[in-house]
Amino acid sequence: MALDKTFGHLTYGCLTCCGYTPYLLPGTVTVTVGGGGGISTFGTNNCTGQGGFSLTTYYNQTGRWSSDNTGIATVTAYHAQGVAAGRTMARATATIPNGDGGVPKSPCRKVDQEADAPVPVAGLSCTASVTRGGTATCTASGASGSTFSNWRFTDGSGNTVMGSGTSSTWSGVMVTSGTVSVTVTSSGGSATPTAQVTVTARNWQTSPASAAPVPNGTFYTLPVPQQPTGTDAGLGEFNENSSDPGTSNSTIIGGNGPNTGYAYFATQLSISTLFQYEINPDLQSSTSQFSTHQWGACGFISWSNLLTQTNRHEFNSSTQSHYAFYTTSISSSANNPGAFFEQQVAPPGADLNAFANAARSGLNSRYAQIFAATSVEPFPVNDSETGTFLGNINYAPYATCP
Amino acid sequence: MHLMRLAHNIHGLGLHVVLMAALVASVLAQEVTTPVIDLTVPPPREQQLSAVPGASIGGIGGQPLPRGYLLPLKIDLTSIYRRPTKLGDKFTVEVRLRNTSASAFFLPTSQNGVAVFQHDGKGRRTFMFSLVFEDPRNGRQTTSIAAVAMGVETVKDSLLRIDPSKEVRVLFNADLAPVADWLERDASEIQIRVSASETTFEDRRYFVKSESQPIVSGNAESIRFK
Repeated sequence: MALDKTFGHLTYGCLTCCGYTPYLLPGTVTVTVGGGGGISTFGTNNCTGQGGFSLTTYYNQTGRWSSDNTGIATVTAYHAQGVAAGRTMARATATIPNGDGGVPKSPCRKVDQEADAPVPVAGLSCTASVTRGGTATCTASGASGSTFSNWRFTDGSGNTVMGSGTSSTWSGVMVTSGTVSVTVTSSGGSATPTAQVTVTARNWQTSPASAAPVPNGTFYTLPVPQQPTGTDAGLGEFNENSSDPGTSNSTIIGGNGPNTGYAYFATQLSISTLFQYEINPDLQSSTSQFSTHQWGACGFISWSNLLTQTNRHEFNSSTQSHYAFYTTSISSSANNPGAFFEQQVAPPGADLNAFANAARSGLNSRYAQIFAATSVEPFPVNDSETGTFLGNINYAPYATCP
Repeated sequence: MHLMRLAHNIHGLGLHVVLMAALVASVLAQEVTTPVIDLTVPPPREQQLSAVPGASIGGIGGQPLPRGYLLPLKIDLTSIYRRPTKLGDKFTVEVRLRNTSASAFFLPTSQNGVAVFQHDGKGRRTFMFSLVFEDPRNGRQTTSIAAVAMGVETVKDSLLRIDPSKEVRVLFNADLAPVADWLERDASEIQIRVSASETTFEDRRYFVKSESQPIVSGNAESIRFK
């Protein structure tokens, strides 16, 4: 009776040594550039020809892993990592029982045996960043003889575009960011590398208008002589407006590219924005009855301070004026109408009636928000820019001051 | 005695069946007579008007913007078919519009934007159906136009008359794209309400003349995501 202490066989008579011939699974380790793939080690019983015996024990103890070309893929224990498109070989050597049963002996002699598997590496590179409306090109690569299929673009909302071509490149006008993928097939397997394309905005930012002084009565008639009317004490008023004439039809991307079927606006919208202000002419005149009764004493603000602060309140301050609020609002990314319009994109098959009206609705809400922000009251006309009270306004009938 | 009680029960059961049948018939009859506007099928490309109308908004300090005219309608979210489970899923929304005024309301129903707006004219209108998405966990909200119908008296069948207290059912498609970033980040539940609003246009150019205040459904549907 003999006991095989290595494999636990207990037999009568002499042991028959049946070693293993190692092999790797998968037989072709297809990976993508930057991606990895697992490798398993198995053996075929040399006596029975039966495969499927895990050789992990031997590879854990004595395994040595290597790649023929680490510029294509690196190979470490049970793992291949793609580096660049091409093909290399993964090699895994371990000290494994060797014998075919032809010569009875016990235990099986262990010898270094190598298993290998081709590692084709598939890559995909795309124009990383493209301005909306520009052209991006994606190029797939792989081991010699690879074929390319199932070009696919997926945007951040789950909309997809399938490419019908079998070329190694896919290009077209891009209007929305997303992920491109392609199936690269080489003998023995296929991989699906992916690449990101980022679409950046065109510079369609709407700039704030200059603050434009207009004569009293242009859009509102301030009372002369002054009365404490309106929100700005009857001394000033502003008019803010945003408008556009609309656009012609949007553009639908044709051809057979990653963004085919998407709609966008290829032409900038002509957005007009306006900020006007009026200052009461009696306040502007140093010799008017009103101005000469702003004493700068007896609890009243001085005329020069009142004129300065009225100008400040309407436009002449970067922090405490209607104009400052207007410029801040229109310049914000949330409100800028030109920037909003620039990024409007409809996926393939979208109802363009709804697309156009959604663009209109979005513009309108921004126009309204800009006006609302402009309408917020800065510090009053008889306060300083920092909110310090400078005195009362002396309206007719005028109070005297000794 | 036992037999009599059984007969009585059978009689009662029959009455229930008759009453239920009458109720179902009544509901079905109502469904049949309620007009349906199906906006789920996009119109042919050549009928879609992707031009953006012009508009002007602003005013003088201290004077609020006009609030928009009131629509004499009540909107309810009836149902959401093929409830979405992930980003990219399309679903169909059914709403009911009821005329709550004492006079007829003419609802724009055409999807042929080119036909409605190709000529100058009076009374050109766009009626928009929107979804109001809300994350109940943090209260964030966004509204997105899902479907549009247009109408003008000079284009046949582009306006549907809704008599006082009468209803129409409207079907349209939508998706979760407006809340894609919520779903990618952290949203596990979204409540959806429906909203509608109308825009009228100037007679001689494709330019917004006035806008209604939106009407929003009092009810909402909740969609949970795993």
